[in-house]
Amino acid sequence: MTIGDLFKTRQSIYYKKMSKYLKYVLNDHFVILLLFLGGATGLAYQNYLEAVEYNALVPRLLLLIVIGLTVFSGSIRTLVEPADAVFLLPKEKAFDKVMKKNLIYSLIFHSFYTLLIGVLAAPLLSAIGHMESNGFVFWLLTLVCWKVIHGIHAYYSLKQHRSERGRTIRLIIGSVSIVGIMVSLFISVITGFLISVVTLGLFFLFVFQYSQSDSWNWETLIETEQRRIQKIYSIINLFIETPYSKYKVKRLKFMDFLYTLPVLDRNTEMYFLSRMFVRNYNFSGLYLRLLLIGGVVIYFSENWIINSLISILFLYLIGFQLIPLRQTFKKTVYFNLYPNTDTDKIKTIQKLILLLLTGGSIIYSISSVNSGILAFMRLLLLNGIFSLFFTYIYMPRRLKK
Amino acid sequence: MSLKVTNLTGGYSRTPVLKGISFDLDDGELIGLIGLNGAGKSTTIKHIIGLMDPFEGQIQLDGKTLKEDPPLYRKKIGFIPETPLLYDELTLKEHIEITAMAYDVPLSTVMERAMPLLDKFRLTDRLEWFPSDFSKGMKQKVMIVCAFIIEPSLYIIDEPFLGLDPIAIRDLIQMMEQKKKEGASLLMSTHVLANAERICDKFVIIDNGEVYAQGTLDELREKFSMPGATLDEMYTQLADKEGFLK
Repeated sequence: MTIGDLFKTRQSIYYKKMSKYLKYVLNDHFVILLLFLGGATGLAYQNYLEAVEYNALVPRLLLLIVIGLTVFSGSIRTLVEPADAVFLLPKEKAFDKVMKKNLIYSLIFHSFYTLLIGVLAAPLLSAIGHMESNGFVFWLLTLVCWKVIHGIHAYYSLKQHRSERGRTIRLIIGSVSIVGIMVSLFISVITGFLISVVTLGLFFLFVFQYSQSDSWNWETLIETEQRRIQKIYSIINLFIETPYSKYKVKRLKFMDFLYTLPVLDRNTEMYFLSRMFVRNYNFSGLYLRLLLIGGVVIYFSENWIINSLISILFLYLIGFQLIPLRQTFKKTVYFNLYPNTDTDKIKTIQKLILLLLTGGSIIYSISSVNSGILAFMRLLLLNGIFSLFFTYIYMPRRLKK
Repeated sequence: MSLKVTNLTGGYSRTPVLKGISFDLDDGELIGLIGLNGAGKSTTIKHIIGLMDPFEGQIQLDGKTLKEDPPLYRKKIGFIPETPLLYDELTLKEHIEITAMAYDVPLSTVMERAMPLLDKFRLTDRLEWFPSDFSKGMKQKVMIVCAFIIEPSLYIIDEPFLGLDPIAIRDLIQMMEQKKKEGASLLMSTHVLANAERICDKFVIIDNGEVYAQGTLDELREKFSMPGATLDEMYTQLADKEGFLK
């Protein structure tokens, strides 16, 4: 078997796994919900486009952030595994070919979603700015150019460089692309396009001049790929349980008071579960993110239907990502060995989930308080009912499956 | 009588890994469980601590099986697994606390018992550390501390010497001998035959899921007619002759 074949097999396994998970994530209920949310967002966007003023500053800054994030996000999909650093080391020449394919694949994939964002952003840009005729095409090409520059940079940063040089290059590319995007947004799309093309050309020249013969930095390769996979799984883990969740545990000493709260049971299960939840970023990080995003969306929306839907959706997501807590008990051998664990593990999990959902219910309801005290009360009631439903009816059924 | 394993047959799937294993372990006795990789040592241990259910046969601890009184049975056992298993999210101190909670020992008592052990293993400054900050040997030390602080009547120790530094091995052996003197029974599985020979009272040699031989060192020497031989010599001879290594 050649290295090429090895990676081909890996790729097909990878796609099979991803499509399997995607199928679970995009289940019927969720697709309907997404369609609904998509429609609502589309409508809101259209209303906003009609109302927005020519030359307004805020939407430009917003676009800068969105486009910036799009361009700077994403890494090269390499499918490298930790053991490769031992086994594939002698085959670096053959591995070069695989990496070239990986680069091309990643560039196409990145360009695709960048184009999507570009198309979505174009109406806003032409509503607020002086997009020239044919500007649309140039706008999209500009984005692709920046994305390709970023992709190639990501590719070459996987090689062995002296770190000062790497830092300088990163700095130059970062600042030039931000300036370029700003020119597109604030001054002229065509000028922005010219800047991106020239930068791309110069960068190409530089890369082929200097980095062609460098060998791969396996540690970075492995670390980058692990981080990439981890990111994908952390998104998938929002919806379904996957067996892949590596994380870094943080001590978070200032949170210690939480474990002594009187609402928590004094038993071995809760002792473990409460600490695990807080310190394991897979759980607490997602919880905080969902609280924040949901809260912000509800704060800005004054439509009570949308508020209720978003609130329920986010409570559902919170509850759902906590169901894998069950696995943590199954994973550790000790809860089978401890003599003092007659307490029902499911009950402990239910208690923690109910507490967290109650927290979410309150936060989301408070976010809606600018629509009036009545709206606040109504949302609180709805959220409360949903939290109880989720904890005592939905979750036990789900766990039985 | 502490631990009595009678005709234990069991395994992971339908096909048994263990085929009728029997041995006794008395109070104040240390038995070495010896056998090649895959002979069935760890499976035997898993059955004794109650992680696996025997197909046939019985395991009694002070005359009672696990099923008769699970909490009582479990409280009597301190287990040190072959590979250190720790909670990623709990600090060293919290491992001690959760052990205290799970085994119903007052926290103050547990800390009192733990401090000299932590001192001995040079872990006192590391109470706030997470398992990911520890080396393999340190993790093993944490496991040892957590098993010893509950002061069980039966210690089950699966391959204790791997990854430990020589000083820690010496300390562990001293600790085991001390517990033996206090009347606890110990079951240890190991490949380090020199250590086993030095500290074990009896040996149970397992091969292919069956007890191949058991007894004291002298009894084994007599049985294999190899007077004066070390455990290591007897074992390798035996393995060659009986085709263990086939």
